[in-house]
Amino acid sequence: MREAKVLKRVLYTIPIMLAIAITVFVFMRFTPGDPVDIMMGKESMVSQQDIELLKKEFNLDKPIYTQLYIFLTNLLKGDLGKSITKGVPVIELIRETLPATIELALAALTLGILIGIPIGIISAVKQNSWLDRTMMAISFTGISMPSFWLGLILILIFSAKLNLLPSQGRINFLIYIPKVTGFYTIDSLLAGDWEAFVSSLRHLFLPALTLSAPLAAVLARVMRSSMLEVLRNDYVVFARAKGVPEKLVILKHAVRNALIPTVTVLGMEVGALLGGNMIVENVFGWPGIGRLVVTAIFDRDYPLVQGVVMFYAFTFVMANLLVDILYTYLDPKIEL
Amino acid sequence: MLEIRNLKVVFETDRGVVKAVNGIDLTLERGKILGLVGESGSGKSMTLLSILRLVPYPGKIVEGEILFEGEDLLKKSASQMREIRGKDIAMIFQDPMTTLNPVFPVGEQIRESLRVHNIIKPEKEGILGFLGERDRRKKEYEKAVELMEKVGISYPEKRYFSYPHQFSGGMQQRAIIAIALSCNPKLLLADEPTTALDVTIQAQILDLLRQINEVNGTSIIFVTHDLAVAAEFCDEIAVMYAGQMVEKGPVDKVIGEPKHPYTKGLLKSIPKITRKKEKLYAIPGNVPDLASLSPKGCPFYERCEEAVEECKEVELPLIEVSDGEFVRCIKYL
Ligand SMILES: Nc1ncnc2c1ncn2[C@@H]1O[C@H](COP(=O)(O)OP(=O)(O)O)[C@@H](O)[C@H]1O
Ligand code: SF4
Ligand SMILES: [Mg+2]
Repeated sequence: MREAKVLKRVLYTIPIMLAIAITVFVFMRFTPGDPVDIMMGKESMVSQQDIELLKKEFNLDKPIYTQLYIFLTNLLKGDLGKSITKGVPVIELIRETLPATIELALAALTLGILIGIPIGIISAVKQNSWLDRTMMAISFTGISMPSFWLGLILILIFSAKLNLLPSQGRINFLIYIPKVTGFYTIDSLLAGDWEAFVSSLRHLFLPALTLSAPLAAVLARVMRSSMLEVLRNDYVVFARAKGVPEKLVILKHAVRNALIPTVTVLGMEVGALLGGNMIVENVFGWPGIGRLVVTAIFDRDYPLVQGVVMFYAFTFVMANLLVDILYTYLDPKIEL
Repeated sequence: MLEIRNLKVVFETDRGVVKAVNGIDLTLERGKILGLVGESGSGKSMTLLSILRLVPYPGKIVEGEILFEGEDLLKKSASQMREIRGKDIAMIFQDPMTTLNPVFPVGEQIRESLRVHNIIKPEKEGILGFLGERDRRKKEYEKAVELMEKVGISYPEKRYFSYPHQFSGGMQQRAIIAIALSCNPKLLLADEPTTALDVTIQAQILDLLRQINEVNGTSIIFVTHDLAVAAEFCDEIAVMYAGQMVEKGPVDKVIGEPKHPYTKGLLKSIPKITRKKEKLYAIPGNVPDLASLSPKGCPFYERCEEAVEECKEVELPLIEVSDGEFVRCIKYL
């Protein structure tokens, strides 16, 4: 039953993905300048013949609608095409950079949850205290501050001034660790290399914190308001009347209910996490797909941009599906 | 077993200080059922919640004593109070639909009561407690199922794992009663337990409560705005109006020969089953706004059909008119 519903939801995502594919295609073509111009600007020795060849190879000589048709049919076959500037299949480039991005995103997600949810709970329980006010003021700043700005400030303080944490890359460049999962933190542990592990954690901290800030801030606010709502309910008073210790009243009875709306918001925030990832990866020189796509946009590398954007869209849709499934476990009244 | 003396609960609101409970005195003997009657807003719920020290913010108890088995509950520490709640004194609420936690199975909520009061003792104390955990859980589960059966929930083993929304209102109230009974309390506070239910279910729940009173000897304070139900169910009746007690006494006295004009009005407004279509009597006017109530005089003055000029000014005590029967009205001064 549940499986059938999950499948149905997955099928629903196909038209959405298609619409995204067309949109990104059209937007790229409307951006002034094309990949060949830009390559010519970079390289000095390009003959007219090379240009023709290049255009032919990437179908740039064909009419736009034919190009769209080729793009969509290849997409359905699971083929994202080849990068114009790098000459490598897009999927290969994604595979290469993805572990870095996932490692950063998971770290940010974890930090966001670990920071945001407890702050929301404490704020609600201590409603209107100075603690509540301070934390909500900070979270308001967290929501309104752009990622690149926060990233630069953190670099200024922790790297430039205090010299505590590195600001660029994933690991000390002198360290080599054999690639297993592509997550440096895990690979260094697998290799038993403690120094590499510490180095990768230290590199991870600032970008993850930057990326998690808006998420933590939103989670804190949502958790606070849904806790305040929940704490007014009869079942909370009834739990106290049963003699349940106050700590359990909050952490079990109230939090469990307050998490329901918070998880919905978490699903929506995954999108923000993906968006923020492009900025944060570029600020911190983090070699993930966020940096890949920004470079590709500047190079007008159509297939690469299209491929990565499709990948972002897919991740977003899947994250939301996952949240919906999680939701059915949290709220017994909801079915998928 | 329970004696409340001069209890005062206030809410400090933007519109002024609301005296939700304004000097209540009550006594309840072991095994008796006391009916607390009054229109909505008269302070019945706040009186009950005061006994458990659960008056909601921004309300607070500002004066009085609540002696339970001779000890003042208002002087207990938070952790002592926690142990009393649910164990010695249990409470059931008006709306069963919102009283159970929607995200936990009903049976687990019963089991939780057994757990927080340590009804099934762990085999080993301290850090080795987890060794007997499985066994302890199983015993708690069995006890919870037994309680569900006792309050009239059929197929309890199956229903144990149902969520509250899968129960009807009546079933939910039974489950709530099972929770209240789980630790065999000495006193049960029932805040309009049948108001949200339809009539046939109402009667069943009342039967269940009466049975608990008779079999376990549990004392009950039964709050209702329905004097007819109170008349049928209680040994003693206390009538509240605007945070004050206006009349109290044995049920036959209060119902048989009501003294206070408010009690008379409440009795007159009970619909009677007659063939003629009678116009239903209603006490004129509305419950006064507690924030702007004059501190002097009888609070019922505006609506009283027997009022005289002096009622506006007098400071009225509760007057004992016969053995155990009290009234707060100028006519008995
Ligand atoms: N949250 C609150 N804020 C202000 N006043 C309140 C609040 N809750 C209750 N009160 C006051 O307490 C009075 C008594 O309430 P309550 O005990 O619930 O009445 P009852 O149970 O008899 O219907 C109400 O009339 C209201 O004025
Ligand atoms: S004191 Fe006066 S106003 Fe109050 S109930 Fe008695 S007669 Fe009515
Ligand atoms: Mg009430």
